Amino acid sequence: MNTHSKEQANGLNRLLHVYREFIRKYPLVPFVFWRLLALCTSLFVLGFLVFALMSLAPGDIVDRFVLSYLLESQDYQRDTNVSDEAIEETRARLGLDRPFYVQYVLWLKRVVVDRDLGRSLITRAPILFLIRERLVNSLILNLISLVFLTVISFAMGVYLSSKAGTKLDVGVGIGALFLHAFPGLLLLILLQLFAATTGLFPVTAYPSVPASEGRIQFVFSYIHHILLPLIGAFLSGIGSSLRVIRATMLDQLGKPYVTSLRSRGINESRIRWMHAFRNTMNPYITSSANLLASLFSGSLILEIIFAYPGIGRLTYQAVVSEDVNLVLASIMFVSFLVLFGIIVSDICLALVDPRIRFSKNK
Amino acid sequence: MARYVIFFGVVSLTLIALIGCIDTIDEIDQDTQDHPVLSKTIRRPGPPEFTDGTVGGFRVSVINDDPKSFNPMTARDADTAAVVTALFGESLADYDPYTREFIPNIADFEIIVDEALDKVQVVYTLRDDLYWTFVESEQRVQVTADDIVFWYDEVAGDRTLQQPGYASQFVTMPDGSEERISIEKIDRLTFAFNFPRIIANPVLSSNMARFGPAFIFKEIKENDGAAAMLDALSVETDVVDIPSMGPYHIGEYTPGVRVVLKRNENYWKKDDQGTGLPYSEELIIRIVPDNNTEYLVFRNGETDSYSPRPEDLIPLLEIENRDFDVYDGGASLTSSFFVLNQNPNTVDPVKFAWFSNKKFRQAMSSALHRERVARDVYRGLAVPADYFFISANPMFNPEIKLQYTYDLEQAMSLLEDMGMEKREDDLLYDKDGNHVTFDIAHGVENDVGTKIVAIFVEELRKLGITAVQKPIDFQNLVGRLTNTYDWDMVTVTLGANYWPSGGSNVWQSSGNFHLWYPLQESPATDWERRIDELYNEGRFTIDRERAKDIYDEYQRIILEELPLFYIVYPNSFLAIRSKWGNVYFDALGAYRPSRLYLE
Repeated sequence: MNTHSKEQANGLNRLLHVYREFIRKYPLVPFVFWRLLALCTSLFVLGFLVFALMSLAPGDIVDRFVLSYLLESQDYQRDTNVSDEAIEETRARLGLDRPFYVQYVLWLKRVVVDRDLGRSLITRAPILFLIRERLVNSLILNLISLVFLTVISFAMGVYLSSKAGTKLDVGVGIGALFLHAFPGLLLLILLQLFAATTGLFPVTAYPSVPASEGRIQFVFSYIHHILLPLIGAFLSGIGSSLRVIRATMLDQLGKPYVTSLRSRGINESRIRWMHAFRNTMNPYITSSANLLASLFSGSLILEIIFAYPGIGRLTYQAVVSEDVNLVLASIMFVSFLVLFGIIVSDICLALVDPRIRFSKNK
Repeated sequence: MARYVIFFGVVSLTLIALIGCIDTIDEIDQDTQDHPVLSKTIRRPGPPEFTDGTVGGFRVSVINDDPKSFNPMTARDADTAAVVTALFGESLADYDPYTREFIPNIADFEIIVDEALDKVQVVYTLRDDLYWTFVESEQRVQVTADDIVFWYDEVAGDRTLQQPGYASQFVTMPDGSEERISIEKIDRLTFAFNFPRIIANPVLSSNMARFGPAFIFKEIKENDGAAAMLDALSVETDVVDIPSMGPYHIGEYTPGVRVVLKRNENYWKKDDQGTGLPYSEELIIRIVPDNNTEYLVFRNGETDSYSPRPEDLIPLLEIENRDFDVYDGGASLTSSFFVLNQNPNTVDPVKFAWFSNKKFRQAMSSALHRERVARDVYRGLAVPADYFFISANPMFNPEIKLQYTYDLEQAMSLLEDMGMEKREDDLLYDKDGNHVTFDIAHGVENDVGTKIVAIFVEELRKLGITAVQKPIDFQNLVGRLTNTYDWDMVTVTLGANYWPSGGSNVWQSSGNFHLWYPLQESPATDWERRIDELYNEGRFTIDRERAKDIYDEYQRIILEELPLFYIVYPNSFLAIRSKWGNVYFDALGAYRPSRLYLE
């Protein structure tokens, strides 16, 4: 081995050593890195599938345009605007004449390289303008739901685990099972009809007056409007999360380490909150990412029924009108949020449970 | 255990009670013709005799989707049109459906006919008080002939922009060629449309119903090209930069929530006292995507007007001490219809032999129980569609009426004339022994269509015909109608047609929407040939008596040959808060929101 090769080998060893030291000091970094890579891959595949599915759907935005022209414009004396040539011209102008994978690659180039989400095929408005406020609205709605669900589920789950087998526990258990089985859509419609009949709540979930006309008034109006839909989202989700937490708590309380703690005379409340409760976090953190995903998909129906200006409603309208640019951007943003939520839950899990962060790196 | 049963029972009862509090929603009165509901509504049809009101207050209405644009070039759907029409929707002339004549709107007009040269000219003179203005701005730009000429030539007349008005700029000449209707500016406010030959309704063909300001669009076209005009005035445009010549300006747009229109102080239309219209200071248009929510929002008092569906009427009218009135506008102008495929290239030959026989089509019309559809689908709030032209059509003749109304005996007799017979198995067979069966396609999203087809299928079964209901995705259905043509029978709806010359692509055998057999090289049947002749003759006949004869024959042929047969005209209703004065409502357009004022 010549001197140059030795120097190269030494340099490589030094690099490896630095890397191992870095990993030792910051075990979460590669953990996060691989998850971010998985997130990017998932988004790439998802985008490809969305384009493929949209191209599989019968017709496109140009067909829709032609249809509205044919059905509504009967006073015209010729058919020039709906000739095959005109249809193909429009399709070419919108870039819809190419295979879906080419459209997808071009879209990716525009988003990643040019950092431009493009324009809606229908409104001709920038996609970012269309989704910005709605995304924030949906995020607020879903985060409020998640926080409510988490806090109340934990409080009730932990409390009920201490009352296992009592009338209260059985009653709440049946109620939770009932809510878990009750169709969320029907529940939202019933709540809306309840609002309409009693007049106690508005039938829409968003104030009809914008924030620009008085922030405090808007906040109070927002709380008033959002309360009933939130109750709907809460009731739809509480059944499953409450049962998971209660069951996990009971499982933990039956473990030998709890018996050991009790035998050492440790206070029951301390055992419950400082030991059993902490171990209950793992399955909940894992499932909370799924909960966020289900809240986003569930909020689509809520947004339509309660006229809430969120991303779900916008995506639905874009899908119906086959506005592929808008559909893709909306789905990618929501998917990013959900996948990001999963990563955050994974990180939280690794933080609370050292076994996870170290086992992954070995 | 018993305790748990009791507990569960209590929970169930609570739920039932919750549902019980909404029991009025589905209460249906099946009584038909003299519907008691109608006695609780108000009939106040046009022609309206408006009283002078005072300016003030705001109105709240609803659209179901966000506006797609604020650009008059790209506003196509109803929700966008609801906003854009308030800014740019001022037509040169207005059609009075009661006198069935055009009247001046933003322009006076004169028709000059030169029979010797076979030419016609329509000279328009714009009012001198028309301005493009901006919200919260003193800027005013007068509307002149340049705006109209630019829009006609450079926007509507630019083929690459595919504007709906493009096709109407051409006239078919006697030799079959097409010539364009030209426009010329005469002076600052006057311009003329020159027709290459005399046509029956030159005002209809030259009446521009929507146009934008040349001083904005011309600059865009010159700097960035024609296509750039399509991107102008999008929904992201600051509202202060959006011009208006109409009754309102856009004051605010909050995506997904609402559009606020503010009264345009410079709007030209005034009442008899000289007070500018509209009377409402603001029109707040809320965006509510779901029809049920729209109904509940009105019921809750959050909006001022609502067009009730048949199922909403009874619960609305049952509300005691209500602060709104429900107006009955009578039968609407649109009706869905059934059509049998007569395309020899795509229909099974056995079925083609049935469908292309007029007796079969007459039998189908005779088997359609229109009264039952009105009763069961529209809860008695619809009337059978027995005419071809609507009553607002200037060539409507009430004496020319459909003869093949519901009569199963007549239907069977017509089928027997074709050699068909009903056998012991209670099924109908043609003379070659083929069982008579076909599919009826309809849009899967169309609930009303689904119910109508179900009724028709049941009636056809009484004749021994097996009709198979085939709900199809709407896009797929359109593909079949315009591209593959592979269907047997279909039910769809087309827009209302005020004009006898309307629907050229439907009624002419060469039309691409001649549903039953589109794009024919030459008419496949004698009656289609005659329809083509009458259609073309009628379009160029000025003499009213002669035109009447032409269109009478035209209506008779359609109602005899029945290439398609209409079903029912549903009643139209309007619920509006009682605080608003000047409410007139009918299907012809008596309702004028700009005339509403707070009483």
